[in-house]
Amino acid sequence: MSSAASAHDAPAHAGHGDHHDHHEHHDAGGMTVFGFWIYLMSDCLLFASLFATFAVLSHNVAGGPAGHQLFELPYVLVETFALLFSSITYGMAMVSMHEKNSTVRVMAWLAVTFVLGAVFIGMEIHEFAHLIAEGNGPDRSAFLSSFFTLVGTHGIHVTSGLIWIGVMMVQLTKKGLTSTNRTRLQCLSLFWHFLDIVWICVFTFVYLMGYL
Amino acid sequence: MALNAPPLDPGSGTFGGRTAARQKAAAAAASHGSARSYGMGFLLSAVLTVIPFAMVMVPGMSHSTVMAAVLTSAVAQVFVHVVYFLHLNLATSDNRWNVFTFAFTGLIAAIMIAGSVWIMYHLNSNMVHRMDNEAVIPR
Repeated sequence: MSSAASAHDAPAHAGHGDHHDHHEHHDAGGMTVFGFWIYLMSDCLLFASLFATFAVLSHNVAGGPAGHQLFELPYVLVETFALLFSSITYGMAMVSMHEKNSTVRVMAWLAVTFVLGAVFIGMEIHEFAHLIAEGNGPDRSAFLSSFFTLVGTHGIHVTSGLIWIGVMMVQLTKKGLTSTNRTRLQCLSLFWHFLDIVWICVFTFVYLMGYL
Repeated sequence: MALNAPPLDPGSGTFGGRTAARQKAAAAAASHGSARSYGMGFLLSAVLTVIPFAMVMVPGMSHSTVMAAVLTSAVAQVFVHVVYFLHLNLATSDNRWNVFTFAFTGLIAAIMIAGSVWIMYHLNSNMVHRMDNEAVIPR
């Protein structure tokens, strides 16, 4: 696969003349990104099993509150837009890397992405704290157990993404846009956009349908 | 084998109706996207987010209409993200592997979710019929 891939990549990358001497690295980077993609697919199955659990348990409220009594949709809408904005700012970091080859611009967009991701996580922690303080923690009902597990797992992923963004900013400061760092940024790009896709499913199946 | 197919298959790409040269440029840009494609993806995503939230928050619409709109928007937005942010397409053989693994994962996820709901629903209906509030564990 690798030889076929490099032959096919050559015309597509003719515009980026500066990469030609790194062709071996580039190809290895492509395999790394593909391997990371396979990891994301297995992560997808983790989320699928949590969604299945939630779908099965979402009506078992054990006499406690149901979704429409707990969720504040405007709050969730703001969270959603924080994550959506962070997706596009990460996209701009990738455009800066591929088209401008500018470490400073990539760093700036990563910083904006980090802030938006932190806003999302901050709002989620606030929501969880509020629910637990009112006695509606994960121990209240099967519905709330599955809710906290599903949304919390997504939150932990986003937190990992924030740590990764921080690590990449340190790496970029020290070494700049080396081919290794480019590959890492491409993997992080897939990770970050993947989390936004999972969030689409979360706000649809958990919040919106829970509210109906 | 799929790997031996030409990398640019005119007419089968997502950018149908362009000249070959523009298709080639589009395929190069599609591997990492451009500011314009990210902007487009963002606009579509924003619209597909606001529509379902508005339909759920504004009262007065029938349950089935809202349900259908919410589901359709979600599927459409996932598609928009996959095309504009993850740049999945069938234009290069590399990408084809990503698409196939993605489709396979989707199949397994669908079997797991639909199967779980199906089995648990039938377990519930074969039990003594106390599915609602009476069956709760007293606190």
